[in-house]
Amino acid sequence: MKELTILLIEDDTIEVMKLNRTISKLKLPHKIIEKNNGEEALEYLNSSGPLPDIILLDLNMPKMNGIEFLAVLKHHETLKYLPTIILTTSSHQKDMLDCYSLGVTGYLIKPLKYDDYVSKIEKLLAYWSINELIKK
Amino acid sequence: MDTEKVEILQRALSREKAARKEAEGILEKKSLELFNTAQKLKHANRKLEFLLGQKSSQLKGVFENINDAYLIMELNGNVIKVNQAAIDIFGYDLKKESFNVQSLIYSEDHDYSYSSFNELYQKGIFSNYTARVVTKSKEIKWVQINSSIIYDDKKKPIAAQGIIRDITKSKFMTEFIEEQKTQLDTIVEHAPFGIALTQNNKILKVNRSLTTLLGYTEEELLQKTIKDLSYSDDLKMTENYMNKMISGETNHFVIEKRYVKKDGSIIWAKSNISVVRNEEGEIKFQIAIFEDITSKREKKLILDMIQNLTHSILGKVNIYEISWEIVCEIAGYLGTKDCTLYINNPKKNRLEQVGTFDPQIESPLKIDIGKGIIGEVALSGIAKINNENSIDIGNSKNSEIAVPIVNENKVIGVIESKHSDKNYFTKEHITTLENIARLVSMQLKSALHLRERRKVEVENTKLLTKLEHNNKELQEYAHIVSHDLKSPLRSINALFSFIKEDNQDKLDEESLQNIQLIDNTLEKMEQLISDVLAYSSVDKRESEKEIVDLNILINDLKKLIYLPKNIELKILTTLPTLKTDQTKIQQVFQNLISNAVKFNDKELGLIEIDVEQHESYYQFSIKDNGMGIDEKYFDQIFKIFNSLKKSKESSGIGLSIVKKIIDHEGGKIWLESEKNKFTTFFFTIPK
Repeated sequence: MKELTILLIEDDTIEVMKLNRTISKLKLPHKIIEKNNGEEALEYLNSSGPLPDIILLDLNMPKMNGIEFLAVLKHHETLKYLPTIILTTSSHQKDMLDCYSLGVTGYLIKPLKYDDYVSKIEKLLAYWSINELIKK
Repeated sequence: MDTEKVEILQRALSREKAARKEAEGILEKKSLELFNTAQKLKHANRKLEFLLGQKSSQLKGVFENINDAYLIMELNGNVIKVNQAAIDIFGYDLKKESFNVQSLIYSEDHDYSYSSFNELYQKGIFSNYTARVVTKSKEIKWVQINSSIIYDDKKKPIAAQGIIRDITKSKFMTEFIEEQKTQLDTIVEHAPFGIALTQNNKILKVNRSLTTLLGYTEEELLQKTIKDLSYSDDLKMTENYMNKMISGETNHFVIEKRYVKKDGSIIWAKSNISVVRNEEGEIKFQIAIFEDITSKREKKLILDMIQNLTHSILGKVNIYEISWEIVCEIAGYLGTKDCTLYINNPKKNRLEQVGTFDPQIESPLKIDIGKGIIGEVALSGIAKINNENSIDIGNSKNSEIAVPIVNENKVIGVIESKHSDKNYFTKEHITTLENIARLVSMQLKSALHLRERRKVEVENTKLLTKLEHNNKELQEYAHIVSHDLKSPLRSINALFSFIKEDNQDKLDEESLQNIQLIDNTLEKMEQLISDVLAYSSVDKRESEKEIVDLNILINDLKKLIYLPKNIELKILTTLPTLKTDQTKIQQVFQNLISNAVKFNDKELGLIEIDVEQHESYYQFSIKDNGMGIDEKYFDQIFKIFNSLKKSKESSGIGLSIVKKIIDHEGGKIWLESEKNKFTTFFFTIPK
């Protein structure tokens, strides 16, 4: 399986724990870069650090929320090519419309149960690990 | 003839001649004597005649020469001398008959005559005896007699003499004139017009009408001038005319002006002023005739005003514009500067000023119903005048009038006016204002309706915008909340999953059970959050209408809802098949049945579903024999988060979702209940 570098933009510590635990539980080779909000994520993306393969983005965050981050990202000359998957509890139609129109590549609703979550993440990552991605 | 003969003849002639000559001489002598005697006689005669003439002229001077009738009588009344004039009066001629004055006395004047004669006898003289006499031809004549007693040389009264004047004609004339004067006075007195005769501004005479007109007595009026009686504002107007009159430019003018009555009230009078000038052209008298035109003028004013008002409010729909026209016209009519129109606001139980002519009022006044004269009138619907008390001492308003505007037996407004004068307002004012009130009530009412409608429209629009906004906000809020609430649930679930995983063999059965309970609780919480979201999205999601057989729907629901064994669910009448949004109608039944189950405290629970067909809608009912709901909560329970009984199964949103769906479908929902006995929810769905 292809190793993915995943930028997780999420303010909730437990959510971060969940993803990390899921990856280790599933024994996946992926690497996770954690950022607490959109602002931090942009800072990271504009720095010299390695670019992620995909971004998992929470919507409801302090400082710069998911939608705001998306808007900046998708207007960026190069960063706009980064596949971004929304990971949220919001099934709000408006949020989905906003996100898709801004060019997200996926919209995942966090299920209540952790087991369901694991299953969803497994499929998501499996999908992206077989995709061809634009590399710098 | 011969010479001899001639000679003889000649001689004879000579003789005769001589003889005649002698005779002539004698005659001449005798004639002279005669002449002289005659002359003497003539002289004597003349002398006599002179004396005679002197005497008779003397007599005539005393008796006959006077034009008036003259009479001398003995003291017993026997007439001894009369002149022609007296004969003319009495008809008796002494040459033909004798008469006694007693026979002349008119019976009614008998006593007067005798007493007069006694006085004459005593005093020797009696002047201006005035009485009637009966003449020979039985004619009655009025005479006036100046009489005196004639005494002999021994100063003994022997006769009486009198100068008689026939005053019958002048007596009649005087009577006639007097009668004419009385008639004239009567006319003047009873004239419907007030009349005053003035001289140098002073009132000399007034008639009764004028006293009635002005309320003063004649005596009081005679102390006044016309100027005193005039209303001060009108004096200038009169002055011009008076000046023209004084300068001689005119002798007559007519104006309509005001006068102040004794009680202070004002009347309008058409004043007709004329002057009578003397030969030099100076004003001798002024005659003023006053016609009270107050009511006439009032009527005209009223008619004018009503006409103006009708014209000016025609087609107007704005309550303020209409009110303004009304108060302007009324203020003009009443002659006041303070007129206000109030509109009844039944919701707030008060009157609100919509139009005013009073420049002192800046912000619209509001008066409580029943308060003050205006409030009283609004309450009673009966017009009122307050002339007695000082109403508004600060602004020196002493009279107030308030008249209700009534429409369909309801007071929709009040017209009010004040005046600085006391006793200013009259019953006529009320009548007029009531007429106006009637006239404008319809239009005011429709304007009010319009205003109300527009208000409602504006409010509706505002409300709608607000509602939309609120709805949107609520939805946003619901989503944010749901996100914020859902996240911790996920975290808890994940954390317990971690614990479970990390302690797979260490956890005992009980702990695992507890973790399972936590999971269940989380699920319920998740459901609650979803319900909130669903509630906020009920009217948002476009519904898909499909054919729904409610009997099948209920049967499906029986499986979905946890129905304890002691509770029976019955469908009383076969339910209809609707074309509707299945999810929504299911939500309605599901919620109502769930509630009926949840709040059933009876050993044998019974839930009955029924339907009534109406022309345009179905009326469903879901009845349970549960704990019942207090009537005071009937409205409340449809509000969100208003669960009456705190219960682990109840989110408190269910009924609000039901109501929202039914409202959205165009139906109604209500309930009947009796504590501890039953609760029936009714709702309608349009066909």
